[in-house]
Amino acid sequence: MKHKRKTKEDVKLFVEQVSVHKGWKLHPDPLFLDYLMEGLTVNYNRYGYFQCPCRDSWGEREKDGDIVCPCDYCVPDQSDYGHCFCGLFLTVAFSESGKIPQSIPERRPPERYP
Amino acid sequence: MFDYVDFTEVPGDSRGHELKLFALSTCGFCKRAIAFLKENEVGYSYVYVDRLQMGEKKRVKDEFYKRFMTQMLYPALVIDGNDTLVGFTEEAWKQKLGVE
Repeated sequence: MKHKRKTKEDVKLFVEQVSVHKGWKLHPDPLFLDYLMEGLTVNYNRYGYFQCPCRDSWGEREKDGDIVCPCDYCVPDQSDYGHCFCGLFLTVAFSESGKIPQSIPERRPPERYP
Repeated sequence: MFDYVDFTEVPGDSRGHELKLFALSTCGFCKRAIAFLKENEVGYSYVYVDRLQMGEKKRVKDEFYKRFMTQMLYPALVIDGNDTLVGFTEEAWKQKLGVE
């Protein structure tokens, strides 16, 4: 079944809803946030699901299931680093610290990489 | 190394290094790395791995793993074919590339 295309506005709404529902904060830098919104929009329209913008994809939902945003590694990464792998979702504490998300180690098991 | 890859050249001062950047076109940290290289007028070549065919992508990643014994994560900067920076942290990139 062909997926309906999404606009960046659709993605913005999705991301904001997730952050409110989960009690997370979004990346503080509007430019970086726009990079991620753009990346999620491209990936949704390319694959049909919100493939993490900072990870490589199989292009198959079953194999990418653990890295569909918000990914399975988001909460463990937040507890270790204060934010998820791509820097989109922050804990309240990290957000209030004023620090900026940096690249963090990849928690996903290598055997799941494409 | 990686000579079968169709890189895009970005002119600039590569400080005596051969710099090959492997990035995802959708990744925020990759865009930040590219902005850093641009601000510092560094010369390099890049490829968006997410836009490669699966076969070529696998070949690139296998070669990277064989050479550096680590998975290709993004951004990945290969320096002179024998060193690499994986992920973008400004301080680490400044130090490695001799940027003030």
